[in-house]
Parts: sequence; C-alpha cells; structure tokens
Amino acid sequence: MLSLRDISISFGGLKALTDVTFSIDDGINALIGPNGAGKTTLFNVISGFLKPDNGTVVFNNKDITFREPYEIFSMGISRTFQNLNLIKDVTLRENLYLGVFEKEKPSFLKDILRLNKRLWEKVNKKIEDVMDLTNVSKWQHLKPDSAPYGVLKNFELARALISNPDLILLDEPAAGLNNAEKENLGLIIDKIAGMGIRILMVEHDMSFVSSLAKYVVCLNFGKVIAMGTYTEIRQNKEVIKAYLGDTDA
Amino acid sequence: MQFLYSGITSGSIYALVAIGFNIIYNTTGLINFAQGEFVVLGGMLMYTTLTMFGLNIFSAFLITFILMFLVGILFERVFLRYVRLKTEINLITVTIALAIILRGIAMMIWGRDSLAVPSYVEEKTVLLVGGSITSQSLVVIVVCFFTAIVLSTFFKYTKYGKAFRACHDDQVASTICGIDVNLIRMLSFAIASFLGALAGAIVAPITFVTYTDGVMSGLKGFSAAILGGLGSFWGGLFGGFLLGVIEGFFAFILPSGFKDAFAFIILLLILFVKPSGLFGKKKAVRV
Repeated sequence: MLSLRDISISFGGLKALTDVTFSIDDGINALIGPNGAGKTTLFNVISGFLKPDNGTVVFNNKDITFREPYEIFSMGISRTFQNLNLIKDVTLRENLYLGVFEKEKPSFLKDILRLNKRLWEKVNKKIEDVMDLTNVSKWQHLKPDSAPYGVLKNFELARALISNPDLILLDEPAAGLNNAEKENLGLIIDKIAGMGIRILMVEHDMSFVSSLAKYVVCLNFGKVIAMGTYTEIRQNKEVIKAYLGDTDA
Repeated sequence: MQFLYSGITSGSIYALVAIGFNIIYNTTGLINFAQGEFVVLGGMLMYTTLTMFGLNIFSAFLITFILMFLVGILFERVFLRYVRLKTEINLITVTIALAIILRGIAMMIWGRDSLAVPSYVEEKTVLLVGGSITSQSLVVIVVCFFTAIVLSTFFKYTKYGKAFRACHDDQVASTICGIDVNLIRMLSFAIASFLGALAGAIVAPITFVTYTDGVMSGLKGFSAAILGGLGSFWGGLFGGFLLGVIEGFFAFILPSGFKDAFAFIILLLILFVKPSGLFGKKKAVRV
C-alpha cells in the first residue's frame, strides 16, 4: 500500500536520504535509526512537505511523489509531528473539527447559511468516537496552551485519526510521555491498527517499538541498513553497531 | 460632537481598509501596500457602472464586487505566487510595485480629475445630539458595522472561517488538517480586495474619487491596523474608528491642513510606545 522506491534528497551538499527503498503493508510498522538518520525527512517526503530529488512514493497504487501535503492528506495519509503541531487559536475539539475539513468537503454556501445539519451531526459523532478512543473527551473545550502535554499528544493522534486515513505516520509518538501514558498510547495505537489502519512510526523507545511493531526498517546516514521483524533487526550486526548497541535502549 | 460624527464616518472607511490589511497579514504575514488602490478601484468602478454605463445601483455594486474579487485573486495568483524567492521583503516590495502600477492604470483609464459618484440614498441631514450627519454617511457607518459582523461570524463559526484562523495560527498544522493553504491565501486577497472596493464604493458619493486617493487610504488604513494591533480583527475595526475620531477632533481644533499628519503621528506613537497595538497579541515563535 505504501511503497518507496529509490528515494534520494539532498540539502545543499548534504545527502539526507540515499536510494531509500521499502514497502509497508498492514499493521504497525516502525522506522528506527540514530538522530540525523533521515527518519523525519522521509516522513516529510511521504507526506509531501519535501519533494525528493529522485525516486517515487506510491500509495494505494497512486504516485504521490509530487503531490501537495493537503492532497496527500485527502488521499488517506495523515500524520503527527515530533513537536506538537496543534492550532493554538481554536479549542482542541475544533482542532479535530478542522481535521475533517477536507474529507467532508462542506458546501461553502450551506456552511455560511448553517444548512449543513446532517453533516454537522455526522462530524460531531465522529469527533465523539475518536475522542473516546483516545481518552481525551474531558479536555476538548480547552485550547492547546492549557492542556497537559500527554493529552496534547493524544489529541494530535486523534486529529490524525479523524479523517478516516488508510495510513498514519507517527513521528515519535511516545517522546516525552511517562510510562503510564506510553502504556495507554500503546493500547490506543493497537486499537487503531485493529481497525485496519496502517501505522508507520518513528520512535526511539525500543521497548515501545518491540511491543507494537511487526515490521521495522532501520535507517542510518540516510540509507536503509536493515529491515525485518524487531527480533531480526535486534540481531542485525550493522544495526547494533550503528544504533542499538548491545542492550535495548 | 460634530467631529465625532464625521470621525466615525471616515473611521468606518479606515476600519474596512484596516480589516483588509489584517486578513492578508493573518494568512500570509504580508502587508499589502496595494490595499489603498483597491479602495480607489472600487470607487472608480462604481463611477463607471453607474455614471458611464447607467446601470442601476444593484448591478453596479454586483459588477464592482465581482470584478474586485477577481482582481484580488489575480493579484495573489499571478503576481505573488510566482515570485521566485518568497521572502517577506520581496513580496511586500511586489505589493508596493503593484500599487504604483494600479495607480498608473487608474490614471490612464479614468484620468486625473476627481470623479463624482451619485448618492445611493436620498440626501438628507439627520440631526443628532450636538451635530448632524448626512444619510450617505449613515450608509457608510451601517455598511461598515454590518460587514464587520458578517465577517466576524464567518471567521468564528464557519468551516472556511476556521480554516482562515488555522492558517493564521499554524500553516503546517493547517496543511495536515487537509486545508489548502494556497487557496486560503488566494481567498484572503480576494476578500481584502472586496473590502477595499466596498470601502471605496460606499465613500465615493461623499469624497469623490481621484486616482491618487489610494496612497492616503492605504496609509491611514495601515495606521488604523497598527493602532488596533496588526492581525486583530476587532483591533482593526476599533483602530479605524479611533483614528477617524482623533483625526476629526484635531481637524476641528487645528487648521485642517494638519489633519492627515495625525494618522502618522499616531502610527509613530504606537510604534514607539506599544508596537503590538491596542488589541494585538504577541506571538510566540518556536526557535
């Protein structure tokens, strides 16, 4: 469903990605590697924020390499960011509401005249369902500046989920969370995968990765150095040398 | 009290221009120095449709607004979108260049003379406490308030309005919500152009229209936007009225030749004392 072929990108003289090729299909997948390996750059290429110098990104049999981010979103890929990227001027619930903006294609005139009653009911139901799934309902009327960090991480996940995506890219979802929050997040991600939504996550917490991901790709200096199950990756000498070391991080 | 009534009338125009500045600033971070030319074009098009083509008021307004909406779209799509290096200073320079070009085009089409646009309502003088106001001035004030309420409702309650606010707040976050940021940028120019045209159209019967009017309309609208707080919708509205009233007051006690200087004295004062304006918020920037 997501296939990357020979993706390369440079920033000035620095080669950030070199011939990155891999595919992911169902379930939860992880992209690991040391800082500066090119993981977030690759996410930016997949989600359209960066255009590669070479290579193609194919999603659901469509070439999305040079599509704009909002088009890629409407084709079924949503994402979260390493740093929180919620809209601060509106409430958390309204952030979710904006997340369905493109998918629902509201009629401009009906919207102005407030005639979209059926659409509003559908959107509100969807928002309630997603908030229940991510355990954030009680914070919905706050603005992002007033809510705890862990809640905001879940809201970002909720916003990624609300547009009924086929694939969610999670950029360091567990970063900054305590153990209880990580455990809760793991359960939520598992439930999302159970709904048939594919996940590709960048994550440094290897216990989090090992408990969730069925397929792992390891990048180093912009190149894929290994891919396979977590157990296979854990035993790969190159991965051990470049990133994991002799004991789990 | 008379300076108050005339100040509110001119303040309504400054407010509409200031809101136009703010809408573009909020979605693009740019100051559009051609905003004043939109005001002139609005007045000129009303003159053309009403006086030259003899259309009725409804058709004249409709044609003027549609054309100016398209001018706004053209402005962003053609001239700003294809600037190779989109730094703020480059884009602002483009708006200054376009303002000069639009002024030149207006001079070539409509000439150097002031053009009189017929009044839209029966000319009457309404007596108020301590002064009076003309029916045409009342139209200006009512239209300004009505527009402010409609726009405020649009930004606050509609999905597209929320998309504008989202783009103002965080364009990356808006993009991952599926909002077409380029479309919102284009629409912001279209709405600002429409607002400028509206201001120009409603004030034309009171002040006449001359191709050079855009400079002063633009700079005073900009001063009003700075006074209220650049980017603040209600700040722009309030800044416009306050500027109009202060200007009216000083024109009342000092020679009227000094009138225009006060807008810029206020602009300087605000920049020295409270650069974020009366209602402006300081924006945190992630570094």
